[in-house]
Amino acid sequence: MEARAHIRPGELPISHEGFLAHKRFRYLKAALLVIVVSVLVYFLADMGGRHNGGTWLGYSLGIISASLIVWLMLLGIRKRAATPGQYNLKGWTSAHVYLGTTLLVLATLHTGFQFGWNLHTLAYALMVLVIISGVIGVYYYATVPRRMSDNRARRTQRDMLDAIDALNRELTQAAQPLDPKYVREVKRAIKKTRIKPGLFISIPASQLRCATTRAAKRLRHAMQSADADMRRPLEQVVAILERKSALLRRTRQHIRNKTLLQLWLYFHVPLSFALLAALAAHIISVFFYW
Amino acid sequence: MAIRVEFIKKRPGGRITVRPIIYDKTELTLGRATDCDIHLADLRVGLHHARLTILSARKARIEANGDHRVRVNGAQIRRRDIELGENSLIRIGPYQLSFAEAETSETLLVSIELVEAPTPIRDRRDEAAVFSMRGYAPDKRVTAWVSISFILAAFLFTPILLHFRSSEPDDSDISARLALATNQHWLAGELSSAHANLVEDCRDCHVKPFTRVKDEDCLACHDEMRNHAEPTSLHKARPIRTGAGKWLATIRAGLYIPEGRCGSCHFEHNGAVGVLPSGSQLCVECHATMDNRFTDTALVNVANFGRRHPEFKPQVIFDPQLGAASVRRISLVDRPKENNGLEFPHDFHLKDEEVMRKLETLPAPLRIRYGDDLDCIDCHQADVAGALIKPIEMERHCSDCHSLAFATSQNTVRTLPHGEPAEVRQTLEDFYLAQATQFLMGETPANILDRQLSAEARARRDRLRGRAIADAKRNAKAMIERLFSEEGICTKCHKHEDPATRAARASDIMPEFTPVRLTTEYFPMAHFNHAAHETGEIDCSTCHRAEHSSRTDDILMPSITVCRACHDDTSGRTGVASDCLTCHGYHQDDKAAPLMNPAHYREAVRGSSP
Repeated sequence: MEARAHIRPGELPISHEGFLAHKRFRYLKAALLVIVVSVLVYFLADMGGRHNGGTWLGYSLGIISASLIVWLMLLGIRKRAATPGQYNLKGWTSAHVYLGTTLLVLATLHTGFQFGWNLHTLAYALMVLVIISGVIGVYYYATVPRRMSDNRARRTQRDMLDAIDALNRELTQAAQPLDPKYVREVKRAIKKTRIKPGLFISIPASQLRCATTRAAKRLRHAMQSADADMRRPLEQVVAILERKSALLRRTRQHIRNKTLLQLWLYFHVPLSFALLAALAAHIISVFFYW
Repeated sequence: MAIRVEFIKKRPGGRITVRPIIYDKTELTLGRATDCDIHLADLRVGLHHARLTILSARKARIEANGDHRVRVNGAQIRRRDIELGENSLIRIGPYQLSFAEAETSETLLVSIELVEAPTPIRDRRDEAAVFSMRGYAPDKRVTAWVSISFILAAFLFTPILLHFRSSEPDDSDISARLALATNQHWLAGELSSAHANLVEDCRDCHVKPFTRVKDEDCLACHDEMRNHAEPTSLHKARPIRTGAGKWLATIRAGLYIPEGRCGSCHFEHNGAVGVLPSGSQLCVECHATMDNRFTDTALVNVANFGRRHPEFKPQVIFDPQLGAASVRRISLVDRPKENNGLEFPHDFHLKDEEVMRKLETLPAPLRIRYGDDLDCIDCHQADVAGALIKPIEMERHCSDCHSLAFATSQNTVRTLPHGEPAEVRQTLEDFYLAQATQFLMGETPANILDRQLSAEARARRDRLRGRAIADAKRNAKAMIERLFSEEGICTKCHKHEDPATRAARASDIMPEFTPVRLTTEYFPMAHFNHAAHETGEIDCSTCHRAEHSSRTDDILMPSITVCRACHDDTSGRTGVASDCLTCHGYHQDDKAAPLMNPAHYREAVRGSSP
């Protein structure tokens, strides 16, 4: 995600700068400043007893952290509203990532390192989980898209599905001259192939289990003992099956890449809302029994 | 050479329509783009997919463009020369091409047939099912709503509801028990051990929702807690903040953290820490420059123990006769001398040979206990907690040597009572009278009746009686006089009462000695713990220079410099606790001090700011 400047022929140079490097790491610097200042104040200020959420520093850190959490959650609204200008979505995302990470420090200092089996620590734990899932998301956003576009080779998702369908039709045609025992394999390859890989299975493993790949292997093996007149049509069918298998692999890899880009959000977003609820309960409970 | 392209379409009912186009060139482009010679309208076909070139009368070349491929007999190829007689099946997308020689020579016949259904308009949902997260994870919104509802219900609404609904926590009803359980979710930090009994019901302290714990609620239990000083004085002495202090005060006020509450100094829910404040900051805020603002005080400014703390001021007694009324606190700088009515040179008892000789005369068990000479601990013993030294008692600490035994009768040692001169006189009189009675009883057999005696015998008996009783009285008087005389045993330790004072009292009743008022607490405003100072390097003489004290009126309390050898809060030397609360308490023990009462303080604040 390093900042690069391409010059397209006949065009003005456009800087491609990822959200992490946005404005020369403006928000990373801001986040580091916030962390350094809060840690210094925490260790230098005399709180009379010990640190917790109820001292002036505890309240301040709590207010800052809670407002920050609310602001971070507004990204969900902000990203749906397209607006140009200074505070563009890339800037927001950059700030979201860096300032969100500072919460780890701010909220920890807010707790004064007092943890227990209670609502307050629940809110803290949820926050930590949200941040961890966010960091994972950033990692995938930084690494997956390039692999993804390499894998996709300019095909659209629809292209992939169409191509698979086309190969299936081709298979049907090409299998016409085959013996029934071979046809059975081909039929199974058409009907039983599940494109979508299981969530907890690697792509090579899902390839091994794939009906198309298996059929290709079996028929290639069968080719050696097949009658002479069967060989040519078999060869054609196997060629199509192997192409389909290769295409399936790319498609599955594409699905996996997409999943990697999305799955963390299935933790990040619901956990954020759970955090918001726990935060509200935390604040209300603390002042209910002030 | 020309190329004839025939588009073949099979109609329902077996009818075939052929649409021929003749191109008068040797090279044709094929693709989805409209500027291609042969327009193949399907998404699977590239925009400029391929090029067809006639090489000779029987040979044509098909060449794919860029990344595109053309399928010839099932194989994906980039370029292939095709013999017309071969009947090769050429596929571009759903279109099947076949080459043949046209009837008219010099013309290549290309038939194009759509052999596959054109790309169906794919259902978006279809695509979504494969490429979305469906089947992988439940919908984000659903998860979010479920967790929000659960958290709010379990951790917010239930405890609030139960706060209002449940009655006393001792009740066995289910809501009360639930309230106790849910209360614990809200417990922000452990209570100190002193308040551990309050952990079950938050409402013991947090009486009203959304209102800070009030001082009144603390005082409901701590009703005997006394204030540091009069509220008006406290208000006058309060610090005037500048710079960072002012800034912090503004922040505190902005965050609605009021000062002057019980909770301003005593923090709960921090476990063992914080209930009792540590550090000197709170005290020094007022005491460092207090004389600027509060001129009514005799207290000297104190900023730290190491440099800016006055010399100790022990409580000194001047007249044992007057007792507590003559007690004053005088700084050790002024070398105060006390008069507690006792004669007791410490150096004599610790070093003199006469004491050692006396110890040798004691019975064996006592000799073992005391050893060859006296030590401090032989008389000064710590109390149960080890903190303070028990008061000296004559019977316990002095009488082994300074025995008050005066006679042995019937195998018992008779001892005079200490400290009660009137009782001493009675004891002696009773003793001698008893001696006389015993003597008389030995003279007269008990079984002889009075009337059986002769007149002479009766007279003799009466004479004897009179003499015995007179002797007893004389002996008792002589003993008492000797005892209380200038040379008597009492004067070893006690002074005779000043004749003038005695005359003023106009009475001949005992005592004739000045009373003894030993000081039990020299520093009433500080706590000292002897046990805490029992380390290998420290013994009694480190602080109390008793061996060098030859005078009874010496005050053997150590100077502040002795303490500072270890207790030093100047920077870099804070290893040993030296903050104010190490020795002092905030809340007075003195019963004369006003009780803690926040209302009084508020009144004082109102009174001073019109």
